Amino acid sequence: MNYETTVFTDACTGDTCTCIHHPSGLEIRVMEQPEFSTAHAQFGTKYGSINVRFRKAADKDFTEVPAGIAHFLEHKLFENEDCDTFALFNKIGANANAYTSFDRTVYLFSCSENFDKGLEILLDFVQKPYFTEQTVQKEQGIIGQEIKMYLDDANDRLFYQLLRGLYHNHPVTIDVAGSVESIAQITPELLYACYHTFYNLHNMVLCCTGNITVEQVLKTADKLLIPVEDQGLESAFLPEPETVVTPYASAKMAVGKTMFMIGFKSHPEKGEEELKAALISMLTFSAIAGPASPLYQKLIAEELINDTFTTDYFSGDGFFCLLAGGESDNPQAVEDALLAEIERAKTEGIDETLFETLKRAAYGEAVTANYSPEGAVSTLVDSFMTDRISPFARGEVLAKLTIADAQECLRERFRSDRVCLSVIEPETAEA
Amino acid sequence: MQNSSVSLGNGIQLTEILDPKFKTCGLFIRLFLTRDPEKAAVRALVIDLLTNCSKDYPTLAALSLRKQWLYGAAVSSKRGGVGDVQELTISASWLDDRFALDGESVTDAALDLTLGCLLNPNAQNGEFDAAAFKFAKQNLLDTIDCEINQKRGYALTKSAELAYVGEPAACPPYGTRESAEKITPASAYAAWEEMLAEAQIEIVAVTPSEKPQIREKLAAAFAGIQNRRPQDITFETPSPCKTEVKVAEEEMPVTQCKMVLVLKTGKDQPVQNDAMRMLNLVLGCTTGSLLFTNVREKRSLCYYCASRYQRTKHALLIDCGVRTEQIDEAREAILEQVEMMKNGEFTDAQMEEAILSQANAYASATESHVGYATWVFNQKVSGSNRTMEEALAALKAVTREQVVETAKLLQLDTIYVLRAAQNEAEGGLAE
Repeated sequence: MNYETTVFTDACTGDTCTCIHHPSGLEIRVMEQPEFSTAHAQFGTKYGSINVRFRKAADKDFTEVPAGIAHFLEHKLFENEDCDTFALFNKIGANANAYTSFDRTVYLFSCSENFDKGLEILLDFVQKPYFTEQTVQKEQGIIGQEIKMYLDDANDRLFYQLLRGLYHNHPVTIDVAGSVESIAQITPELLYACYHTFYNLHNMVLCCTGNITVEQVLKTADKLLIPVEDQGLESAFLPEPETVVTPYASAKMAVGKTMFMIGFKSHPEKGEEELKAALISMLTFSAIAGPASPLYQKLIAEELINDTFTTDYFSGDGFFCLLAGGESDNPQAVEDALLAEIERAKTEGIDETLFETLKRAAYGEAVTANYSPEGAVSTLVDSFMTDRISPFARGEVLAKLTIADAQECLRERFRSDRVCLSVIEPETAEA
Repeated sequence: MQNSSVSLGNGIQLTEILDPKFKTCGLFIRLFLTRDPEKAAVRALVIDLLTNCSKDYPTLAALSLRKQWLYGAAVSSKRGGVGDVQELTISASWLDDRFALDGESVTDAALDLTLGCLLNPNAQNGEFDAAAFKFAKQNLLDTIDCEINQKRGYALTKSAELAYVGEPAACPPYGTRESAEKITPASAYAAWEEMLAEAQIEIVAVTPSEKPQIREKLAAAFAGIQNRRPQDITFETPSPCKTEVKVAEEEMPVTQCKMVLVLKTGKDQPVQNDAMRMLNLVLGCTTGSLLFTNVREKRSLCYYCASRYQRTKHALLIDCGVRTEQIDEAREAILEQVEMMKNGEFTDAQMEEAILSQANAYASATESHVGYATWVFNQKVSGSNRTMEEALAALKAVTREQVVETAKLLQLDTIYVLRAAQNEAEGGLAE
């Protein structure tokens, strides 16, 4: 079989990744790590909770589906016509699982022996959907339990509340698992329709790492992959205003202390630009509000934050926001102090020595990103999902970032008129 | 992988693990102390405070800046426990010297930083620095208050309090709020001195190449501890069975209930630990287990339902997330699975799968610093000196009869239910 192959090399560590465009339409990414004892495989599709409106090239109109189907499919694919797929993995001692997020669904396993057999099971079951009225109904019960579990997760609620405060139309505001009501609308027909749309090999990736070889992976892939035509899949989102929905949102739950999350909404990017935006945003935010910053010390001294305070970013197809959160008795004061510090830094500049020190730490993170087969396989999937960039792009992009980039990021992405504060307060017995 | 264990003197043991596949080094210093309700909180505070600053880096900002400069080196603390013993750990990880941009020794610097945190804190005249202390105390109080945020963990903690009432293991991992409130900079400093004098100290270093300076620096640093008098610790302290099952419920504004069942073999029954490991694996540790297959998958009673064995207490904990109206059915279903173990109603294939799953878990443990360190610490707790291969061989040697015999020793001791308040059972946030 003829393969179109690209080899990526990490300039820092010498690690390599072989990227194969398989004739079936699937992209396969393999990192050989013979010094490790285990092997990991992840078979993923660019289909997550945000993909609720889509069409194929042959379709005139967009199709809209109820929330939670991607996650529901993840659960259901594990059930074959004749047996439970978990049972097959258990028989060979492999540890199998799957997850659904906003922009992807990924099926995975790891093992120390029987990798070829495990890969056969993985490629086979993901390509063989089997849904009936009865099995769909049973799964509605299990997923209903899962939804309820997340309803009690204060961090989860805080985050979704923030997203609903930031985004007017983008489906990132919808819970990944959907709701009890939305999953009640799911039928076998809907599942098949979504499966055949998104589980097209041209929309998918297989990533393997650890104690395996490229040849070994290809041998199984050649045997199991069923070639398909590219259907020209297109996901669409309603136009999203730049403004936020509300600057403040709150709720009450059974928590021990008030929790908060501040979000700055800014323009989304794609591919390597998304990676660059993420890296510079994290460096900038750390310089402004990380543990080494003067602001962090001020907030501690004024007893406004504790050690749960962190900064982060969140990005994907059509959304990009910066996050800061933790626990505080006065979240509004934290937001005020943060906004004041951002405005000061916009005028007076970001501390360059601190910025360069933070870049050294980011270099350390880039070197160790693929520290193990488990870490490496996630890096490979992430890079594919970020418009198929190199898995080692992080180190290359990081090396080029400058204090001027940070200053520009601060001006463009940390806007006081694009901010929302989400708060979860303790629910008292009397409430 | 090479593994060697040496005494550093002063009753302190160092295990050095050399594994060339790693890009980073890891150091784990664990203090074992008999759990004491009066001292649990202050010890938890001290171990946290020690990783926030030191004499050389007197503020969180200074320490953080130093860690960032060392390519994002990490120095952190962990508070936990095993049965009647409190475990306090300081761990560090840093980039291997071969990746340093200027050829400097990151190892030397990271070791100095870590040992400075533990042995040379920011204190004078027998008191910790006031600002550092205030931050650590607030963190501890918030951590205690926020234990209810993670409902599953909270339910497990509450069930342990009830199951081990009157025993040191009943003491919450961070102590009580009342005892935390009484801590002063001076009492914390005294506790630090006592911890270093009385703890059994076990150290694990994991490096990709020979680092003789680790042993040298550790030996020199720990030789300076005055008046070492390590406690005589008994790890294995089986918990007696109650004459009547303790049933407790707590109501909270949540949508999903949590239930924990504690079963014990009793104080006077010798337990074959390898048989109990097998029992636990077959009953509730994998996706092929009886609890997962029958309670979750076949009967859709819970989203999660799993077992864990607390070896030193001879106790098996089973926990699940369940709807209010299915609590009774789930409890009966769980107890049915335990009865099935007692009746030998499990297959040889399930035992085989348990062995394969454990083999996979051991292989995975050798792929991270934490995995290696956890293995060494667990060996200390179990008073064993087995290799992973020997532990696996012992599991393979377990017979069905031994599992049944061990299962028959289990008696239901405690049931704890975190119940959804009536108006919350159908979900939703209180606005």
